[in-house]
Amino acid sequence: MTLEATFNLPFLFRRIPKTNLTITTGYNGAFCLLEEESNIEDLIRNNHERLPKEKISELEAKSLVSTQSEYALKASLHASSLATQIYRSLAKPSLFMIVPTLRCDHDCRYCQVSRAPINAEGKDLSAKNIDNALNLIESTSDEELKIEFQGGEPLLNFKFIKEFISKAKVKLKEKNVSYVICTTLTNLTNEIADFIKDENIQISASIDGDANTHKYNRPSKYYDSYDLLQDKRRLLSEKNLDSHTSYIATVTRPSLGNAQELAEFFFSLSIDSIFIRPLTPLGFASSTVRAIGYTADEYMDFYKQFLKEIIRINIQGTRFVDEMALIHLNRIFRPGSTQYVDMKSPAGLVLGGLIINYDGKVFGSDESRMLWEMTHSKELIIGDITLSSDLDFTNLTKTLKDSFLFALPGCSECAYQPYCGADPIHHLATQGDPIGNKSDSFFCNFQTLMYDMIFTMWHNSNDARKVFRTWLKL
Amino acid sequence: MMTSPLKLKKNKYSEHLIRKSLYWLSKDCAWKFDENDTYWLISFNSEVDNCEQQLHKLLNDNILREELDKQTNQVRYDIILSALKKVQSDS
Repeated sequence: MTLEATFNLPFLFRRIPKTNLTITTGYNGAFCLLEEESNIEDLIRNNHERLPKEKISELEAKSLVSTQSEYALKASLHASSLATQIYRSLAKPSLFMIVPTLRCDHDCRYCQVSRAPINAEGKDLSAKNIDNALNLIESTSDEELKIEFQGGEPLLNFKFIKEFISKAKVKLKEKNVSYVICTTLTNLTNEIADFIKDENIQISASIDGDANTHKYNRPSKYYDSYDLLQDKRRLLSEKNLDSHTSYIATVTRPSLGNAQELAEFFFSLSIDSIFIRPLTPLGFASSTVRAIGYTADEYMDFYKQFLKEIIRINIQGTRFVDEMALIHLNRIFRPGSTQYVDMKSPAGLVLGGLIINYDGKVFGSDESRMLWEMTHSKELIIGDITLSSDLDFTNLTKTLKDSFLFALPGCSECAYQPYCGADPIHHLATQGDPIGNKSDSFFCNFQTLMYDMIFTMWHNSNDARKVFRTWLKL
Repeated sequence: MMTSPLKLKKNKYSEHLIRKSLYWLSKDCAWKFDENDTYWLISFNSEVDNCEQQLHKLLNDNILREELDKQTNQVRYDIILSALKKVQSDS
């Protein structure tokens, strides 16, 4: 503990509701949790001697306060961190999503703008566009990139995927490319499974819960979607593809009361992780919102119980990761380790990823594509690979300029700014302008409540902290 | 039905400070913002009883943020300038 007086460096703060905790965060991404309500006033009013000595030591160690003699040095450390953040945020896109087809054999309740009937015509991306798609990817990507096939149900146009990867292996041979297919699995065949294994492709499969939950959320008029999914999971196991497969679950309103059961169900699948997420509130009729939607508060009441159960499972000895929590933990403890496009400032729009739609149109994000399906607003389109591999960012530049958190109302003074991101398309879709009113934003409420919960658990629960450290490999 | 207005002295609270605080008031608290020569006048819908209390908490924290801003304004400027120079020199 220093005997010298200490002075404040710039920091942000937030009182975490329903606790006595106040979180303080710096430009460098460091945080310190103050335990008494009066601590923040004493800190800001430079009554540092009134704070517990160990708290001042922690604030000093994290460069949130400093002695006069070290002040310039610590300010320079903040500048270095900020420069690194700026570099990272301006990196070339690393995620390229491709929609081989909009056709789908499911009628998921929350998917209203991203699917077409299974026999619909003109809803497949033609293989004759592959060269332009690869030219675009080659010219806009960095050395390391991920190509993700989405839908519709991408396996309904497997021929395209096969030809695309065959050509990509030549065109992108200088780059480190990984492939992911986001699928319901229901069209998986022996041939496709062998191809996935040979090409070392990852699978992101959708499973929303037990048979009743899954069939409620993801019905199909052609078969029992849950039974077929389980058959295909067995096929993956027979082909030794379990380690290639991760699972994603979307929560609808009927599941909100079943957090513990849902966590136990996913654990019973003998998988190592689950990515559980709230609905994307785009493109729903109001009757649908009433049936399956919820507020961020309602979702987080559910999610807290879910995460507690996951932590209990881990404490009992089995590593079982909640990927959504891990993304937020990585943003706090391992900045730069995750390129999750929703958590970038400026927004991940274009700078995080691009999406090539089934009709060849190129968008800056999946939400842009969904919004285009709803509005057909031409400003959202940044290219068309049926015409060329060129991109035009003119319109999106206007949107991106409104996505730097430090300059946004509602974000500029938020303590979670170092860890959060802007989502201008979400706000454009839900509130009609890219900045949005954050006090009434699902995105902002969700992210804020996530960080509130994680920091509170980190501080208050030895079990949670132990599990989080294991997931983070700290 | 609105409450009788809460009066906040103009020489103590800036308009920016008040608007920033109203921004984060819970959605249940519908408010009306007005002024006379000396005071900012804020009325709430009368059905919710803790709107004034919520506003005072938000005002208190925003006053603290302003105090911190004043203390660290120069160093924030220096940090951002230095960060941009680093980005420029390395690119």
